[in-house]
Amino acid sequence: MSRLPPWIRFLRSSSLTLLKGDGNLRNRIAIAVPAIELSVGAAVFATVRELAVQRSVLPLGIPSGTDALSHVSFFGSGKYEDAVLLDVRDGVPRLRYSGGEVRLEKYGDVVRPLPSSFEPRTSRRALSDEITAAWRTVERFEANAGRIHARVSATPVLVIGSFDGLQADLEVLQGVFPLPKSFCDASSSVDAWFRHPVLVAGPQTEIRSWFPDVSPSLVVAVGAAAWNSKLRRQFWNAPHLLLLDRRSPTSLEIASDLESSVQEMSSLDLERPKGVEAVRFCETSFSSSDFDNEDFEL
Amino acid sequence: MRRSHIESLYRILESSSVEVTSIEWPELRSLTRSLNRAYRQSREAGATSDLESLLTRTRAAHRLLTRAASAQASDRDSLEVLALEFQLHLESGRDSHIGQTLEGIIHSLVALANEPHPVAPLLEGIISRYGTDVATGGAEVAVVVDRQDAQLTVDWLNEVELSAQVVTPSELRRSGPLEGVILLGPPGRYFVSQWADFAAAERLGGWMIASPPARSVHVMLWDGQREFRLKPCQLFSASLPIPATIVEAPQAEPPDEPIVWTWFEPSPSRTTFDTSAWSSDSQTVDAIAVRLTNDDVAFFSNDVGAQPRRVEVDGDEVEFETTSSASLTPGTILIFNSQRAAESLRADANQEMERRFGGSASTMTRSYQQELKDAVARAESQATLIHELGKLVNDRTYARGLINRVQDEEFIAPQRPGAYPALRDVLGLDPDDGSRYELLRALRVEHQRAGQRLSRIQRDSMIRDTSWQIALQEAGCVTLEADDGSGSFELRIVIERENEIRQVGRSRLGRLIALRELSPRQGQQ
Repeated sequence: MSRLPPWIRFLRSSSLTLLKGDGNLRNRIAIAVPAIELSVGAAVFATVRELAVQRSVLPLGIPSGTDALSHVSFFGSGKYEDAVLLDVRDGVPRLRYSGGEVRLEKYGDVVRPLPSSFEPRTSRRALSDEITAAWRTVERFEANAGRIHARVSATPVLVIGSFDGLQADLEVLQGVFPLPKSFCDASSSVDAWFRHPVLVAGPQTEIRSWFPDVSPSLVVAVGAAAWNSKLRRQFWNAPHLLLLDRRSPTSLEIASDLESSVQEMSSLDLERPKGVEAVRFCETSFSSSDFDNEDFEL
Repeated sequence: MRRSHIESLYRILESSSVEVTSIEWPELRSLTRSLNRAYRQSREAGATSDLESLLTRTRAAHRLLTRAASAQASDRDSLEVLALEFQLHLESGRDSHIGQTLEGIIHSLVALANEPHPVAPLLEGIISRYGTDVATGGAEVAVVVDRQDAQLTVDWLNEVELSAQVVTPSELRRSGPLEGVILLGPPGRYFVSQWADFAAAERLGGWMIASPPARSVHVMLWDGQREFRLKPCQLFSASLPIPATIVEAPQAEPPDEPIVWTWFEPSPSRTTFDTSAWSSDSQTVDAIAVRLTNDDVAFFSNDVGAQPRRVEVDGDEVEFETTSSASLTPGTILIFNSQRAAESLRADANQEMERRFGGSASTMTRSYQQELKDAVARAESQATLIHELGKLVNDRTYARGLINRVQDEEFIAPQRPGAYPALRDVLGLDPDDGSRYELLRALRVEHQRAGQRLSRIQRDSMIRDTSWQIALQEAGCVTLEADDGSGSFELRIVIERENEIRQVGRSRLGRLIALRELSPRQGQQ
């Protein structure tokens, strides 16, 4: 990582600061960069990579018996599928899925209960060889690659912004990072929750009733519209990274709004590349602009 | 933008520096002061329209001297002509009460006409340090100008055979990496407008210093301009200081009053206009309406909120880029000065509220607060509470809010950023308590629905009765009313006209009132 350009190192460190946190889930970091291009991709890749490293040594919890007969998402044999949890005996979940019944002795921690209002999906998702290869390459996860992918996907990175923009970033960052696009494996649908490490949604994405029951590891809001979106507010109790284009006039609106609504804002205690501004704060109350996006004409 | 561009951008930022050049130009400073004084005196003591017109033209000449890169022979001639006209005006005996000031202006104009322009050699010195980019073939240095000054600057560069790009701030924003950028004035001056005072403009344009697409930024300062400072260029005051190196300190003298530096410039063709409003109230003009050729009226305002990316111009959709300015041509621009109208509106509005609803705005505000608090106390559940609150929000509430907005109380007006915290305060909710968000949101939505309803009424009214357009043309002032029996409000606007094409940044774009619904082509002038 030491050979990475300073601005990518800074974005990475900022994301990690939020991921590691101090126990306060309302920590926020706002970064204004000279050009928004590539910064989203760099931040997202760095975050997923860090999550992968963390999850490789920290398995998720195994569902308890009280979740019996509820719907779950699970990963096994290289595929994601939704199933019904029949029971959990000796820490081993037993599921009924499209192929019959199965006891997941090794993959119990990647069985995730679906929120009650989450419609179980009939489709399955097989990890492509390309994605598996990327996960094996990046951190040498070898045989564990799929399982770690599933652990990260359980609490994914949610990007509020442009899917195409992120994909373009990741393509361009090929060469800086190993296989960034395949590794991030982003989906443009929030309904693919539990199955992708990165989910990208536009600011106007329809609010799902199950949002309060899922937890992203990090919310990356790209620009003013994303920051002011209802979608972002659904994930109030997750760390948020705000990426702003320093040259965009709307960045000033957001900055002014934050400065008037946030009680305490401090500079980010990281080595900062020239041309980049960054502050951290705790979002303890709603800012006024949060409520001004349902406008009427006058 | 390619990866190589981004990488070079960060690379040049690593070694970027800011070089400030202060230009001694006592004659210009003298003219600036005399002009400021003349404007002030003409406002306070009155002046003939001929003098106002003369001052306007002098202001335009002053602007050209400070913002264009050179003073050409024709400019000097025009300065001499202006001096002569001032002299004739003085000799005619009119406006003698400000004669001394006018003599000062004449003296400065004559001096400026006979002085070499001091900026040109300095600019030549800077530009000649740079060469041509081998890869692109373009100049390595760019001069940042306002759009209307671009051609003049290009002409001058051609004349002196120097190679530099001439770009507007919007073009610079999208530019690839450069070796040098020349700013003619502090960055904030490019962004000062009715919507952004100088402090806001400094932050808005601060990227030209904080994250410029160039290794060196040259800031040229004239006598009397505001000093250049690094700190206000930051987006966040809490972030670490911009690590820029200032090569030369700016002048320490205090700046002149910024009257003649403001963004607006009255049109010389406008003669029936109360000139005093232009300069002194320039900070209070808070909306512009542009009449398009198809009779649509686009309103531009500084209200926060969603901004349309597209508007219709001549039947075609025009898309506004996120960062560029929009050119709406041709059309008549109407300046909507609500704050100036607010004084007269306050009394009328309260009187109207008293008549229609039996209480002044402040009385009703207090009673509404109490009703809300009672509803909160009575409610058995959140759902009940939301229902109860919804019932309380009606057109009457909105009408009151609208008036409060004009009165700048910022209590309940749905469109104001302060409305939500105000609602929260009324309900006595803990600002740190996010759990009542749904409640507040429901109340907010009800307010907005009431607002939308009345907005529709207003628009319908404008469509039904187009006399406002004629009144606008004739008198420059119109009162709009809307009343459907259940609730009403009155909006009086004072509108001034200007027959010039303006560049209006998208960030200032407010709401388009689509008068295309006029049928068939009602209100055609």
